[in-house]
Amino acid sequence: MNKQNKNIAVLSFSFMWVMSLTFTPHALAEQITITGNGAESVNEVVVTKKNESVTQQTNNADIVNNISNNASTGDNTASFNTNGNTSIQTGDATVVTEVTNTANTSIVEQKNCCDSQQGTVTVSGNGANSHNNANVSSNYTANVRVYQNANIVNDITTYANTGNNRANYNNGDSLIRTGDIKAKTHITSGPINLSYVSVPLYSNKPLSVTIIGNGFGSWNTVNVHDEDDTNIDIENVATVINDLKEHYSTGDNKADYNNGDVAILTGDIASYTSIDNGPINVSVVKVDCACDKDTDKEVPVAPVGGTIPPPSQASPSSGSSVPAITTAAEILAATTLPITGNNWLALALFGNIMMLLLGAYLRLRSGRSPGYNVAL
Amino acid sequence: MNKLFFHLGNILIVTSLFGFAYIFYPLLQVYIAPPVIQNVAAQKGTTLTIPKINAQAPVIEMVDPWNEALYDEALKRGVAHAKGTSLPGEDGTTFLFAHSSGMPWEMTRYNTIFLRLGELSVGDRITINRNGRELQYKVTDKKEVDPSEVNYLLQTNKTQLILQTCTPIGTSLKRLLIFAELG
Repeated sequence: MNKQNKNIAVLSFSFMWVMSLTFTPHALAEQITITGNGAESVNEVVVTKKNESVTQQTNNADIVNNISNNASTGDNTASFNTNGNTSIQTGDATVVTEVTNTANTSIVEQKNCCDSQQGTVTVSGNGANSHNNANVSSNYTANVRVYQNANIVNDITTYANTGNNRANYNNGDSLIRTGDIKAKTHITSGPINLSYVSVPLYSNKPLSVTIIGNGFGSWNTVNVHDEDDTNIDIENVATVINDLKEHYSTGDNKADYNNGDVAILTGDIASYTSIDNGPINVSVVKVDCACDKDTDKEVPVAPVGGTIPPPSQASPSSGSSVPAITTAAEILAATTLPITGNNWLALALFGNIMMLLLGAYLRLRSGRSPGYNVAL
Repeated sequence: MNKLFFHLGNILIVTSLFGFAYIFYPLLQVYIAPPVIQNVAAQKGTTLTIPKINAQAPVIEMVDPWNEALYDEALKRGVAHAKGTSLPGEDGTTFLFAHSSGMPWEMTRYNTIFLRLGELSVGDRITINRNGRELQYKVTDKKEVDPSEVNYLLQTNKTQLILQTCTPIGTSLKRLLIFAELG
């Protein structure tokens, strides 16, 4: 009798994503005009603009997976038989447990940094000896705060048994043959706490200043002061606890006090366990000077739901596990698009060129021409 | 001493010429003797075909795009489909990536499958055959982005196909993205 117990249905999703699309006001797009004032007049315009934006995303995920997976074909008894031989043959047992956890993805993308409208300051047509002053100041502060916290507990117990059989006190031959056990446990926790923040530098502030046609001896000044601050604060905290308990047995069989021959044949146990943690706590921050001219571009949306990892190859050893991402190279790979080229080709080309030049140089040094004109 | 310089110079020149041939032959082969495009309509599995650049390769589905050790193995066998994105024919973004170049001693049939990806332009056709079903895509956009722009892998709500490889050829400085839509 074969018994197969699969528990793939436990896919724990605590996936929360928050998308923020912030249309940020530009610092200056007004028109300021000082015009047509009389001789010896004193005119002043002061414009002060202050904007502050705060974008905050908070994601919390608490996931607890309690899984108990059992498969048993054993625990059989055939005792006190007096006629003929006694035989217990148990079937194979297969236990498969797969768990995937994904949680917390945050994407903050601020757009519309470029103001297509040009601000203007015009001082024109004012009388002789007039004093005309325009002071324009703007201060923009962008604050982005992302807090993500994930607590994941995988408490998994798997049990498979084809043994613990009893064939005692029998007349005749006694045979106990137990089946094989195949067990596979695969836990994946990740991606967890992914954060992507893209904000522009507000360096594009087109401003047109025109001072024209003012009277003799007039004093005209335009003062412009821009100040921008960008503060980005990302905090990712993740706790992943994997508590696995596995018990597999094809043995613990007894055949006592029998008349006749006794044979106990126990089956094989093949167990494969893998735990993948990652990527976890990955943040990408992009602050650049280029404004995105394509205002119709869709804001990226994180995927909803996780995926079942592809079936892993069974390994005859038990208790093996795939190491999580730990080295600096692997963390870098986890924060970049897949690496589908390498710099060795360019380096090898450079090396060959240097070798060719050096060879030609040595031929020239030897006093014998390499057979072609080389200007060194 | 002059004799030593003469022979050493010869050795270096000949070695460098062999080196050029060793490096460039697999790349030139893509242009001089490109593979013949097969009819894969009735085959099982998933196959990507780009007629303009004579590229055809199997698609290895559900490859972890964050684990270089895993996707390096997949890329030896064909084009990799990023796990977490949609499969061809499903709603959402399908993200496929493959090599544009590789180490000469590691050259396989698929190590340079995306070498000529940059030759694609808007309107070019891309075909994906999946278990007997043919999907026709048309290129809509082409971009060079920084490796850190992982939002293209997270952007999955729009139904489109994205092909990715490294650029310039022989480096991993930037990523070339080809966007295509069904039609």
